[in-house]
Amino acid sequence: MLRLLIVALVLLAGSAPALADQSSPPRTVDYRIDVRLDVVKKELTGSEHVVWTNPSTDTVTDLWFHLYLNAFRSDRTTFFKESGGQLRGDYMPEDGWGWTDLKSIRLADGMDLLPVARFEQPDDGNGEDRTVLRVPLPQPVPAGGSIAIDIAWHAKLPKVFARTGYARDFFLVGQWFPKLAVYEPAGVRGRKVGGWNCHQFHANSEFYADFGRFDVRMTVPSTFIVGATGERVGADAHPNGTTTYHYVQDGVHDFGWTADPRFVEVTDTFSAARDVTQDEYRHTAVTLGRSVDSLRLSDISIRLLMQPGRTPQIARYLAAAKLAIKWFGLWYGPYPYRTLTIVDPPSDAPGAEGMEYPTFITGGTMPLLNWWPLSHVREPEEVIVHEYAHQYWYGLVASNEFEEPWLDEGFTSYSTGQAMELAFGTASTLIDLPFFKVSERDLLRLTNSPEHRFDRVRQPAWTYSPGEYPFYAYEKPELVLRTLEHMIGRQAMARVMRTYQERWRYRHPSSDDFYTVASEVSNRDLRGYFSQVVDAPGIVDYDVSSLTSHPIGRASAGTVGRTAPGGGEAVTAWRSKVVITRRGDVILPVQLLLTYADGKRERVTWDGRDRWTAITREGPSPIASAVLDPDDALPLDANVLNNGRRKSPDVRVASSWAARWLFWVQHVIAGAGL
Amino acid sequence: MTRWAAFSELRRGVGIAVRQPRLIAALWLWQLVVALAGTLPVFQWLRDTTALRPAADRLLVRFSLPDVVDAVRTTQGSPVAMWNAALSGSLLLTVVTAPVVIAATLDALRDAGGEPVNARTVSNCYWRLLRLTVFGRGTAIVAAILTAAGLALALRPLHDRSSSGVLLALSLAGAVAACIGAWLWAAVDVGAVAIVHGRVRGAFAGWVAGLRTVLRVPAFTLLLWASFAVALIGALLLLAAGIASLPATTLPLILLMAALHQAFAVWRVVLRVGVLSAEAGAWMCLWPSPLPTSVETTPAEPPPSVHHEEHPRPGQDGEREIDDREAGE
Repeated sequence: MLRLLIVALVLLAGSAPALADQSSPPRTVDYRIDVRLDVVKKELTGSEHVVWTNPSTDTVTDLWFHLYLNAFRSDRTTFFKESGGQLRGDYMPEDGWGWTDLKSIRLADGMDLLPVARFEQPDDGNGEDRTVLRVPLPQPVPAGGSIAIDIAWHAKLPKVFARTGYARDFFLVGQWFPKLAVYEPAGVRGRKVGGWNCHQFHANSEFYADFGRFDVRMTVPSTFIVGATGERVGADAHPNGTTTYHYVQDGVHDFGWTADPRFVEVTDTFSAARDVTQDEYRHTAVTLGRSVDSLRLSDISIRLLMQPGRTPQIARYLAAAKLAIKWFGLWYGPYPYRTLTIVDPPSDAPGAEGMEYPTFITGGTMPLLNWWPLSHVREPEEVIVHEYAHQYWYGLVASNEFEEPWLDEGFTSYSTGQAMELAFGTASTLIDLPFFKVSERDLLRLTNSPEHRFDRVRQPAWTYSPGEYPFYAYEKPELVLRTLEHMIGRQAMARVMRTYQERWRYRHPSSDDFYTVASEVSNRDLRGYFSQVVDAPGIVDYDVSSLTSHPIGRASAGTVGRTAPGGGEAVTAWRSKVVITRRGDVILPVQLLLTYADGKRERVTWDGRDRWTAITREGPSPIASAVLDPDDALPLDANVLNNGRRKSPDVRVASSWAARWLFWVQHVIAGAGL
Repeated sequence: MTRWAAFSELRRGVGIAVRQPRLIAALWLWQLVVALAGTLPVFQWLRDTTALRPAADRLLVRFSLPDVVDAVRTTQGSPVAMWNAALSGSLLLTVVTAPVVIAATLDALRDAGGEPVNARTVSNCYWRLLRLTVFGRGTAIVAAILTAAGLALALRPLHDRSSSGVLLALSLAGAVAACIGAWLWAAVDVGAVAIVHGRVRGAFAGWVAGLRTVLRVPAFTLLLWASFAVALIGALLLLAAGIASLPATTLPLILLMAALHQAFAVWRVVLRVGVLSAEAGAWMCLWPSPLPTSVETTPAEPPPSVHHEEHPRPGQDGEREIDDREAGE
């Protein structure tokens, strides 16, 4: 009996962590979808059976759905008003409209809820926007209870210019099915009271959904090659020339798929044994303070659907995918799925490039990058690494892209930069042409202008000043995280990111949740930092405004010292004065490196609290130069050039680049003048 | 035959150019002076923004766009407008003076014996040459771009088939556009020869005459320009290799780099004069006096070697002017 009791206790003890294991995906939603693609009319006819389980202790009286294809319904939708009918410079063609029409929303007893369903516009009150549907329920769903709904719908895909749609025979099918929004219980993301979090489809944001299981059957003409989220579990060819592909995936919150008869299909495997060295395991284990065994990765099947005109880039795509799988797996935890599908959209579908869905991403490249020297432009690598990083920041840590886009795009950009720099070096991370190199840091500096002072990093994606979203969602967050890395050290930063990923995997964190993890793991109160650079629109810009030196001591001939500028007596002492200015609003401590004319160096730390300060030194040698942030520890600094000043002018840079300018102007003139 | 004729004509033309060091020096100096005028404001701006800033020293090692952008952000006013003004001013001056430079060059080539440039010939031709160069070269550039764009569009289906299809489409579009551009550019050169030699009255007639000449010897023209391009690109690669081996981080090395730049600029002038000389030779060979009025009466693709004798002046040796109407204007 005692033995039995011990066994029972051991089993309970063993099962307790499993129950509390936050890495187990919840199944809040369970979709079973059947869809048929009409490749001529570019239409979808679908039916879905969805079971929703109430994750809260509330009684829920309605369901909210995303009907995001309706963003392409007219030029009066919120997406169109915000975007002007374009995305990343790609414009909506005149005949490219798309929409979703629901046919029925039935309960298990057959009752159709469509007549009582209403379109809602929670973000802007735009009555022409039909991207959010609220369905009142005749019977509320109790806490922990479930409800099953059957929906039939018919949709027309838009011509792809923004994220989803078709281009000739290429289809990227995203945001295509009626998708349940997120019911946030009280306490989640700082909510006082539980409720639905459902936003309209915006120009700059589209993702926030709950985890669950997707079981999807897609019927397309048999000549088409299909790729989709999850694992293919079946393919049934029909006598009418169509085939139904069956895909299943658990632990995801969205489902995307593609079809194109021209795809060149390539399969490969990321092998944890072959593609990760023992040194890489050991080094990461030391950095993260974990055992090597706890970091072990799993094999992943990679399926690449490539355009025939870009097959020379297949190896680059696969290498980039393996690079990302390896490093993000080591840094943030293993990728929990068995497959990764990579899609290469054709040249006339740039709007489909660089998209992320769970276990399914799209690349971005162009045929010219097939060959030297443009093969050294690492656009395909960067896009693949970036979109794969979304598997962690959006896919697994499912932050709210609408309300806090930096937790999604910003973390992804930071991760991408880390992996790309590790693989390709810091000097020429993105472009490595013989006479033109561009690093990740270069790109960040280019975008980090002192003019960006009107928005905050942490604000809803549709509320940024015109044109400012990319900076505040992608670049500034990356700079914030890079600066944080310098503040707390690489090792602590790696542990912060790992802990944040593990603690919030399969959940919906807010910025505050990240602040908590960062402060806790680094053992520093970092809220002051985040409140300045994330929650407020402050910029960082330090400037060495002036550097002056005057002789203060002279000696007669024969005294060892320097000759005064006017000649005559030798100078034995100098008074040097450096004025430093804080041009930005953000207060951060900064280092100042003083270099004296005799080569001596001195480091001074300024707390940056005042708007400016003067540092005066008296000694036998004048200060020759003063450089702020000599270790590049403040990537957030919006102007690096003004970080230093020297006493004597140096015209080498001006001469060197003026000579080059002269050379090229001369050749323009030679071409036009003779 | 034609292939070797083009190459040997270019070589002969380069030989003639080399034997006229004063002409080459004058052309190079003129280009240098105009370019300097467009460079001085840039140098001043660079000096003002970088001389006292240690962070700018990165630019000695490699081009860094963010450092340039920081310098722009630090500047009061708009340096980009200043660059544009400097470049546009130099370009405008170049275009306006191009007729003088071309006429003087062709006149000097005709008088290979070393007679001074005939100022009257130059002034007589000015407006016609200006119209010819602006219209003709503008046409060449636009036609090349349109050809490339049109072919790229037409050959788009090749992109969908394979990577070699992409390569084929891009190569075809580029090659055909380059051919069109080279022919039309050469037509301007030959038109200028016709005008300077007093064989046509109007600018358009000159262009048509140039076009007719080029279309009579299309392979010769293409190979001539291809030889020019190869010689130029070869020199550019040598220059690039030289500069890469001498990182310009000190003032003496910067001066050495500038000297290498100028050596290349002189070589470019020599090559260009060589091309002009070869084109003038082709013209003289194809259209000996009396000038035929229809292409059927002239032999196709003759070896256009004429540099062994001086080109006759207008009115000499029975040479006559082509009337605009005769040339199709």
